[in-house]
Amino acid sequence: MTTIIHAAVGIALSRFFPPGYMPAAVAFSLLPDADHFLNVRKWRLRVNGFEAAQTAMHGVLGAALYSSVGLLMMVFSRQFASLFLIAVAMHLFLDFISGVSMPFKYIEENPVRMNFGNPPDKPLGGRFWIRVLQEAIVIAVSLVIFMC
Amino acid sequence: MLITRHRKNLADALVPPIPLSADDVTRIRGWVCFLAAIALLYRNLPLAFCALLSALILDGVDGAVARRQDLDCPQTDRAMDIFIEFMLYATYLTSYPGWVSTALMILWVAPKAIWIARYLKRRFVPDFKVPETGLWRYVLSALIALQSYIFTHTLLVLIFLQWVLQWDLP
Repeated sequence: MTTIIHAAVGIALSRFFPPGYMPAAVAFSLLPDADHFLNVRKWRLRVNGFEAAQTAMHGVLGAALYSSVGLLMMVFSRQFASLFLIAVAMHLFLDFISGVSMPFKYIEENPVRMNFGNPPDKPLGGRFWIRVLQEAIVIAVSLVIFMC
Repeated sequence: MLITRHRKNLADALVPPIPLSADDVTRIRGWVCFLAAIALLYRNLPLAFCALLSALILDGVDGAVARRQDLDCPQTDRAMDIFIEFMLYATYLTSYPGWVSTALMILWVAPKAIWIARYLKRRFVPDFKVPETGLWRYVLSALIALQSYIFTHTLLVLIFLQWVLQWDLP
């Protein structure tokens, strides 16, 4: 999903934490997109233009690594760690469901083996109107949570 | 394995024809879990329970739809399980901070951490042998077994206990 939507989700999530946590919530919500900067040359000014630049950190490997980091953060502050975990988890979930992520693409050189002999699955996206609808729902839900 | 086969047979017999692809059913399951996450944030246990129960039913339905369409899409299904569990457990930890939710998070993260370690070992130092003897062998086996455990079931039972028995989570 787009950066604006991830930021909106971060703002909505901050409502469940003390008021000073909003900047951290937005930062954590945008954090997984930092991997795009590693592949600046692949950026294109078109729909899905940044997605070609994502790395394994948007997939299952990223989920596993971020959750491990979040668990380590719990040693210092449980509230801060839960904010980190929920913001990153929401980001990865929303990107996966909108078809941005191909979760097993980077971790298995032979996706056919991973898929029990079947061809590898396509990402969940594909139809543009479904993506627009999903993004509109997330923005609307974020606004409702933030305002109520 | 036996339970899985019976569950599949039951789903095949009960699910009516649905004009949707298996991926779309999986996608709906994802959004139902998103609703459950929001309900958990608001500590609305009945709504969270109903949403999670619907998600579990949809989990059976997407498999039946896929088999009927001669498709097998465990990659999408498995990836959805992982992302949903991550989102729901993080939400649960936020709403009900305590040792039970922390323990659940650890139980979810530990097998993933082992999975990363094994992946990195296979990828970068395939010749390095980790001594798998004694207690460590059993711990490793348990963590590997947990990698394929569907954690949403545990959360559903916990939410049910909290809702019906008015149980204050420690």
